[in-house]
Amino acid sequence: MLCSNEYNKLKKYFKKKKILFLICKRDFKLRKERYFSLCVILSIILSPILCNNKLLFRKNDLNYAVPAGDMDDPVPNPAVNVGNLQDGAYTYTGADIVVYDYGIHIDSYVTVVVIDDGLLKNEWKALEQNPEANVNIIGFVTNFTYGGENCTEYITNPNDSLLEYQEEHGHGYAVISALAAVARDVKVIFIDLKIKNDIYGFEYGDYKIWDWIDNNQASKDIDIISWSWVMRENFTENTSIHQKWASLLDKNVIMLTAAGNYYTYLNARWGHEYKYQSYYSEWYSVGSINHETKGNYEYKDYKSAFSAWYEASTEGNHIVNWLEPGNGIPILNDSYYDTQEQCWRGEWIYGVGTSFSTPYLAAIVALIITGYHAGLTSSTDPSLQKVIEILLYASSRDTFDQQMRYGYVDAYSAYGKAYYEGVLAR
Amino acid sequence: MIKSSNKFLTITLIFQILLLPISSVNGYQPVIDSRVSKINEITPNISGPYQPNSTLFGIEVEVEILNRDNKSQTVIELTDLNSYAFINASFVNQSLQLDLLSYGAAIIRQYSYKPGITTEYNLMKFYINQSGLTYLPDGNYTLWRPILFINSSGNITEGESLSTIISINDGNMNITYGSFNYQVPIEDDNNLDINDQTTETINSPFTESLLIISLLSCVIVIWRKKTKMK
Repeated sequence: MLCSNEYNKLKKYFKKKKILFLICKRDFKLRKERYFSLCVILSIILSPILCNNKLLFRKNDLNYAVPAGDMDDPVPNPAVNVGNLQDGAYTYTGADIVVYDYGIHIDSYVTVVVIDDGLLKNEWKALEQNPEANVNIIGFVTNFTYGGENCTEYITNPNDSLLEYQEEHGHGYAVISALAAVARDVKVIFIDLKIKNDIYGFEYGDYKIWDWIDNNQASKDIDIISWSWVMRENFTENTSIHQKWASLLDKNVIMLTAAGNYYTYLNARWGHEYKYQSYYSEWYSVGSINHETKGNYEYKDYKSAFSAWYEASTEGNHIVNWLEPGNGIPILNDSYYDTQEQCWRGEWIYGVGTSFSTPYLAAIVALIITGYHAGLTSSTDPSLQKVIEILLYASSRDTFDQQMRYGYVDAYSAYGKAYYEGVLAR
Repeated sequence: MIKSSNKFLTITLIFQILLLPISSVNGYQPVIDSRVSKINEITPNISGPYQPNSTLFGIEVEVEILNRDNKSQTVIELTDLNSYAFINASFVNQSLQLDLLSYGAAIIRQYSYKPGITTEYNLMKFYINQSGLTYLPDGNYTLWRPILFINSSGNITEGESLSTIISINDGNMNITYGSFNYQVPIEDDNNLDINDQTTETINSPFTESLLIISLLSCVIVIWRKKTKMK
């Protein structure tokens, strides 16, 4: 039973709810009835609210904001923001100073291998002709079975009929465009994965990928491998793939992979850890840093909320080594023929994910090798150890942190250091 | 008579106060639900990355995504996986293990789902650690499609993923599909724009009965008041 004090409190509470108040006010002397009336009415009011789950039951909310406010939005004025690298994603690392102010393009002795879903002929052409930023795709490697025989094909012509049957594509196109923005004119070899409904391509983790890269490393002058994918299981049970990786490391090839977007330790989600290739010590793993504040749970200069993290120290070597902007990176979407400019091009939109942090770092490594060549006045490549030294020198952090790793690599600082190291090595 | 009426009302109220939260959980209907709605094909020895001493199976499934709201909802994929549907298993032969082949591009994508049910297709590939299998071994297989969406506060929220169970006993297969507890809205022939006025949540019968009890109690209270005033 309610005492008069409690009733007064209730009365005050429902002051604005005049209808309730009037109902309660009536028949004031019969407290039991009033109590029943109030409870019944409250039940009636609360039932639908509780049942619709709008107020109380939010236990499955991940407390995790949408990654970026501008995800998939068009990049405004791409000629300036991408062409002149004035977007915050580039000015953050000083890439604008190296590439736009100093006009540094990647020399012809640097080749990046990108392993991804597929590439249409129009996407290939757009990546080579896009007016804001472009690359030089020197080859497309795929795998198929013909007449019972397994064949690996190296295609150099974007009009090749094989490219007409690419079921899965678009991600690779976006990744190479992120590379193109910083590493202008860089030579690219595309390794085609067989994904979902693809008729051909290499199976994920196929030994033949590594056999081809290793066998062609010298002739194609391959320096960097960029792989923006994650895998939940160990695909190297037989040691042959590890042997190929070891061989590539001996040839000073740096292998970069995405840390993953499941915002957890070891990139875990739904009971699985999507930690490979990051979990292999041969690979350098790249997470995402916020180059500006985007979203409720995002902080500038800190790891993007979605970016996965790994070991607490470098001892296990299963770590994320660096963070690069991946929270709103200009990428190409669609491809079309621009009749006015008479070229193939795409629409620049903002992409989100460690998929794009990875080619960003690959582009900085391409600048490092180009800077070293320029300082040395020769096409002799720096050793892998020298490249890592330069990356650590240009890192925003001196010490390793589980969340922040070595921070981001400053492109301006990295290029300058590489040039200087080249001069010293003359 | 008055005393028994009071008792009835007291019991009713206690009943409601104690059970309303439980009924609300039962009546909870997430905005986005997902379920594996059909098993199209089960293929042993499907093409894929080789693993020694294992058989690679493929199961092609139809997946339904239900948006209960009356406006489009944004579903977010933190990784573009080769299959968004998942599977695990408990085998009669306990030495067997299922290992889902799952990989994806580390790109965050968002998709808009209209009100009502959207059907998609997924091909799950998984290894069972025994070579040369030509059919699924005896056991229970659970299939589901986890899903995240952006709620009205702008946060990523987990939708409800209903499980579909494949039971295999002595080679006989029995499939139990998860159910949405959802009535497909009846199409109005005069209004082709069905997406603007579809879907309404259906609360559990238990919650509905409580509401009826509440209304009855209210009627009794008002009736008694009126009787006394006379």
